[in-house]
Amino acid sequence: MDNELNEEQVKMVDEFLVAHPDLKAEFEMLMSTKLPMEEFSFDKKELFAENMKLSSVDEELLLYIDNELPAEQKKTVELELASNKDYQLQLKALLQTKLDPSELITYPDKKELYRHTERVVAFKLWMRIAAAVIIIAVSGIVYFKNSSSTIHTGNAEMAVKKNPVQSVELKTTKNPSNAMSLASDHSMGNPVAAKNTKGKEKKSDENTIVPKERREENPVQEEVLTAQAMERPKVNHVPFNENEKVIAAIDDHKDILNIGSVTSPLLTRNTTGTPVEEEQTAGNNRKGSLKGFLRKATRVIEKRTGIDPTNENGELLIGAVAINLR
Amino acid sequence: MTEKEYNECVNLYADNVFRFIVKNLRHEEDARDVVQTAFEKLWRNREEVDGAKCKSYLFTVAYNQMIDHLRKVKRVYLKDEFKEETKVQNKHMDNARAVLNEALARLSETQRSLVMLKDYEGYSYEEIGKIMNLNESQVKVYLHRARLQLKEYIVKVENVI
Repeated sequence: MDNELNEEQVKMVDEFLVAHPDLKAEFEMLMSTKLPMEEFSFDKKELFAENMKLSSVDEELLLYIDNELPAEQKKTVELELASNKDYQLQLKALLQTKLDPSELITYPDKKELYRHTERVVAFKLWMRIAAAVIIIAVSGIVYFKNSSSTIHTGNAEMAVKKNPVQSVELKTTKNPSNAMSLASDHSMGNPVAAKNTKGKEKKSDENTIVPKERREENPVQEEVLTAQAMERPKVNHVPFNENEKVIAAIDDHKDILNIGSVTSPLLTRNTTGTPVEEEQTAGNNRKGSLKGFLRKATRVIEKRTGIDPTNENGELLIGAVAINLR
Repeated sequence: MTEKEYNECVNLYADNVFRFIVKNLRHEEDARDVVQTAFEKLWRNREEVDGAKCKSYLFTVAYNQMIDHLRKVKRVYLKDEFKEETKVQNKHMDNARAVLNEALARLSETQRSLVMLKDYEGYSYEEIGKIMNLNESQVKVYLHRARLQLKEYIVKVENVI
């Protein structure tokens, strides 16, 4: 059926079909699948040379309005447009087919297109513990600093209170301001303290009377302060508070103020040991309060995170460091 | 592409994609669905898509979605072939834009898309070809034919007036 056989082969097929009439029907069915020849007509006008020329002009102008012409060709077209009116009319007609890009159609509900994912910041276990430990350490340091400042204040007040004669005499001095100023002039090489003392005379006067209750509460702290008053080196430093300034001034100017030494027998009655030992005792107290604070903090952490930050020995674990809370 | 870049794409291109689709489908609800689907795809594939190329990605996806939609729905719009209308409707023919829109509606989806991508979005032939899966010469030929057909319709309408 494809006409690919020579004459002899075609004869052989024909003879075969005659010998086997039952296969002839199948052969005919196969032959019916061959497509018939059909005639088609096509409008050839557009293909003629004239039309091809016109279409090339249109194409050029179309490329021009689409901004797809190379620079040189674009210049040529523009030159042609400037001189040729037909060209201009054609361009004008084609420009009418261009859509206006400023034409806006807004999407009705843009909000439904936005995405806002909730980020879950996963903190690992060790990060939580580290954060808790840092918070504890910082708060412990702050607490410790505050507690030590109150100790110093208490001791200074106690030291002044222990010498009521001194305080009274401070008050009764005719020119307390002068006394203080003299004291400040002859201070322990401390110009900063001197300036502060001058500026805050009123405060120092107010602090001379100390309640008895404080004296009884902090006898040890008092000893520390007196020891410090004796042994304070003559270096430039800003006094911790006004009471210290008073003591320093008093100590230096006993003759002027007609008072005894800060370390009077009354004060030294409760001295237990050397100044170094007294400092250690005060240090131990501070450590104890810090430990207590840390113990409370570990309990809070344990409650909130469910994690026990202490080891088997009851030591608080901060990284590779273990702090004994007992 | 980050979440922020994605939301920025929504701000910048949602209207443009919607305009493209709604003018093709001439059905607002269907156009919304197509646009939503396109943005969902962008969101799902945001890690593979560069922020700078999200516009072309959106148009590509939206165009393909539109074609799929048309095949599913098989709506009978105005005929694909640009036939000469014997009946001229009474309209305000002084509105050139309305006439142009009417002419645009008479084009095939392919031709209409080509004209809109070129005029509304300013894509080059090459870029349009990538969006519509055509080569550059095909884009050029189809687009030019579309414009010539639009021109003929507009001229005819003007002549009738």
